[in-house]
Amino acid sequence: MIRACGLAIGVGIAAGGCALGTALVGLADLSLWSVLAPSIGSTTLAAVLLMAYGGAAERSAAQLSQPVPGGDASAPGAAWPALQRWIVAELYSAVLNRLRIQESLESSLRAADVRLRVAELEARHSRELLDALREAVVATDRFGDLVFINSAAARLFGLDPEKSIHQRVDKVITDPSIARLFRETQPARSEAGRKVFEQSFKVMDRPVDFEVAFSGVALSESKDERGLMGVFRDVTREREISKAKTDFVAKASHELRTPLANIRARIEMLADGDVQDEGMRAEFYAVIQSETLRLGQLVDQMLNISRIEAGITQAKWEEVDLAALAQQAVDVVRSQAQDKRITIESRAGSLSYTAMADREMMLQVLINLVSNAVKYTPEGGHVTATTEVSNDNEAVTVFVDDTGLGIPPEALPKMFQKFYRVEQHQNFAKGTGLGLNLVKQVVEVMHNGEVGVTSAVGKGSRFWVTIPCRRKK
Amino acid sequence: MARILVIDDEVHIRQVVSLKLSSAGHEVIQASNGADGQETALVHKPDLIITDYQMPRMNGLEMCRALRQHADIGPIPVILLSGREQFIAPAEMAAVGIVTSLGKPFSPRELLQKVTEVLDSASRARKAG
Repeated sequence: MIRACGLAIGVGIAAGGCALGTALVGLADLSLWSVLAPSIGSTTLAAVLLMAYGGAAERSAAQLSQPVPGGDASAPGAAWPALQRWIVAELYSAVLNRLRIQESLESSLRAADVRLRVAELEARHSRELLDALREAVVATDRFGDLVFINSAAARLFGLDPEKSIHQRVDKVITDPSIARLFRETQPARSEAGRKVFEQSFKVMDRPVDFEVAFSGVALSESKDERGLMGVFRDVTREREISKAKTDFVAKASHELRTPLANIRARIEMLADGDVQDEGMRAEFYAVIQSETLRLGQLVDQMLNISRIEAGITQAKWEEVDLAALAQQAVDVVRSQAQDKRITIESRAGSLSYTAMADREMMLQVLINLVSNAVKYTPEGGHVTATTEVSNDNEAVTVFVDDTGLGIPPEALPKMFQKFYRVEQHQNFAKGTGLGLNLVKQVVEVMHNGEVGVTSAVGKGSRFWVTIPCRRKK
Repeated sequence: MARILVIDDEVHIRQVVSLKLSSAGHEVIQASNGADGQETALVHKPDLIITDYQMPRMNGLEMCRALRQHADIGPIPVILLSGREQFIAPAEMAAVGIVTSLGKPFSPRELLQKVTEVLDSASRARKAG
């Protein structure tokens, strides 16, 4: 019995010593813990320890909170196992506490890692959003050093974002007016609200109109760390459109006022009895009538162009024989030609000249071209409308040739612009300056075709329109 | 009665104005653009010019400015008859001798009234001078 007890104590001490050694090594070697803990977990480790300590340790585990070893201290030979159990229990408790702390730290680390990743993702997202902007964004700190530029700004100012950051803004953006704008705005704006400037800068040797919005931005949580953000919006195109609109209104109102002035003045003079001569009165009535027609035509053309430009004109697509349509246009204008003793004809071969088109719109196009040819051809001239089909049978072209005044080379590129009229022709014939623009809109916008003109002053002009035979899907 | 030069690129406007003025007993001469208007003014030395603004070759304002350079014809009062008169500053008009303006569409009756006023005023100024 004594021998058996002694053996048990010996084994117990040996086991306790071994467990103590293992625990100390484990505690000292935190790196081992950090490797083991995530992979096997604290519960598994506790189980391993319990297995190592045997039943004594298992029993002691139930008394973890006991500061002093329990057991029967008065019993002879019972002190060693009790001490052992106490040591093992204390060690076990320390290991478990350590594991809990480790686990809590790891959990905090994981949470911080997630927060960091989310922050990185948000930062990348914000960066991508700023890079996707068409506006150039430039931010400086309170000393005027660049802290941020987006892709548009890098492209606009020809900068390398990597190399430009932390450089002085006036060193990297070379245009002196932009640098001055930043310098002068910096002290005032970094604290105040938004301020918008409009300025024209030279960018890549090209004048560009910009709307620049400056606002103060917080660069960190500190109140002192405020910078300046400039958002550059290229408004050149907007300005051009606005100017084109203003020009259009000015030109349109001038074109409308002229016939209106004529009508009003003549009606008043007729009403006042200023026109006594019968022949003169008849002429007054004729002018009022033709000017009224001119007004109506002008308004119709303006509306047609406006509808096509706005994309609200619905074409009625059908197979149209362009040669037959050219003949029809010639017939419409024939009496106008005869008044000036101008010979007018339509020519086409025996091929098929059909194309998918809006019949009414294309007839208007051809009437405008043939009528113009007659208007700007002196008495006794010739006007010919010739229809041809392309070699690959993909497109039909109508050429309108005249032996008229001809167009100076400098005027040729402007012939299809709204309200453009060749200066030398203005006293030769009346026009709205919209007929050829309508031709261009109908052919190019509605029919996906092309228009063109060649001319020689004093010899004549050739206007042509080409439309594809089939509509592109 | 006075000699009046009417300058407009629209033949119908020239015709109406000329008829109204000649009916009132004035002598009317015509020109169809600014450059021709300047030449005609230098040759015929009118008492009054009625001119459009927007014309080929030389606009109404440029023509008036050019005429002011010729000391031999003296200052000729000008009436601007145009659809763009509201876009020209009064000071700019006064600087080139435009004494009054009338917008298009216009009343020939009102134009004749302005012509009479301007001629009377010029006549009074001559007498006073």
